[in-house]
Amino acid sequence: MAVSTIDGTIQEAVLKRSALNIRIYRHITFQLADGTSKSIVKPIADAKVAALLQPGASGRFYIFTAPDHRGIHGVRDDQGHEVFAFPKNNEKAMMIVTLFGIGISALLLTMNLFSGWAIICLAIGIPFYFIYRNIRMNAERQFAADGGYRPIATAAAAQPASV
Amino acid sequence: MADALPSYRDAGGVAIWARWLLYGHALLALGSAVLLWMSQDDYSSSFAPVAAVVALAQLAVFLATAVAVLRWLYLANANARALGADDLMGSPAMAVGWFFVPLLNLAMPYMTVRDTWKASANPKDWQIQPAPAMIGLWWACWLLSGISGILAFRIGLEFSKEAGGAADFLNVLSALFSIPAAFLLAWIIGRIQHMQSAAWPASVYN
Repeated sequence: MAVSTIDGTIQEAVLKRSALNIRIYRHITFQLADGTSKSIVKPIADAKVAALLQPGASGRFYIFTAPDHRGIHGVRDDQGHEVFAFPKNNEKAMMIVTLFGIGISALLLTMNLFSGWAIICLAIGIPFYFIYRNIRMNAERQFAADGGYRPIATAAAAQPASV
Repeated sequence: MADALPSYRDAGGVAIWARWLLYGHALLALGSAVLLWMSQDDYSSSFAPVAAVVALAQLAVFLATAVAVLRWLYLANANARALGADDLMGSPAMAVGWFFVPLLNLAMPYMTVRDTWKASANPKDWQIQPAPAMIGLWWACWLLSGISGILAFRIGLEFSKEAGGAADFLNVLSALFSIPAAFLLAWIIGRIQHMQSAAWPASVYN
């Protein structure tokens, strides 16, 4: 299941670390409408999405699951915020690995040499680049297809900030 | 938006086969280690024919064990999804495929087995579930067995008889690491299967 959604309220969002535009959480726990909770462990999110991942935030959260990591790529909250930002770092990394493999292979071939490591770079880089790209495109389609969705403001959220 | 959930397919029978084959693999590894130890530096010893037979049996049982364990892992991973665990990484086929991807096979099979355990323990909210240290221990033993086996092979290939002692020692080490790895994996399979079968009472494993 590459993409899915969670409708609920964030109970806890424990940030582990930040790196450039990426936020890596220890876990994010949601309270669902039926009163049960659901956690996502070690999710990543782009900084734009992460800004909305605060305890108390309520709405629909868009989740992706890659073969080796998972994350949140979009939010539509009950305050009317709507953000989509897919973390592309792994996709870019795989492109670099592929280009590195192609470059080294080409260079070595001109010298009649061969490197098993370059082949491993290609064997990993090419399929994973397309896997990550496919997940990103699925996420974009998922978020766009759900464009008409507007979460109903919760009673707590609808209260004025100060009386 | 969500993919159709796979249906539950009872993996109890495959789990039983996989566990018995793992015990057989451990027994043969022990026999192989003892024979290697007794016949070190003596390639013309009377142990040689016995060692050859044990090595062949070990290969056959290893292949059968690999088929049974990978088949069980595929079913267990699919069944965890069928029981309601969503957002598991990859797919059941990928759970098996990770074992054959260079470099990534150093970590991803461990993560797959760990996630399958967690998803079987509480499918509805599996990610926050703890996983036992036994899974890490199994994976460490498996890697150490593999690494020492590869080193023994490379040393034997490169240096022939001069380094025969070192290669034999590494072969014994590889066999000895594979024994706890087999027992731990058999235990993990049993526990995961037990958790899944409890959630699916019609299972033959009950």
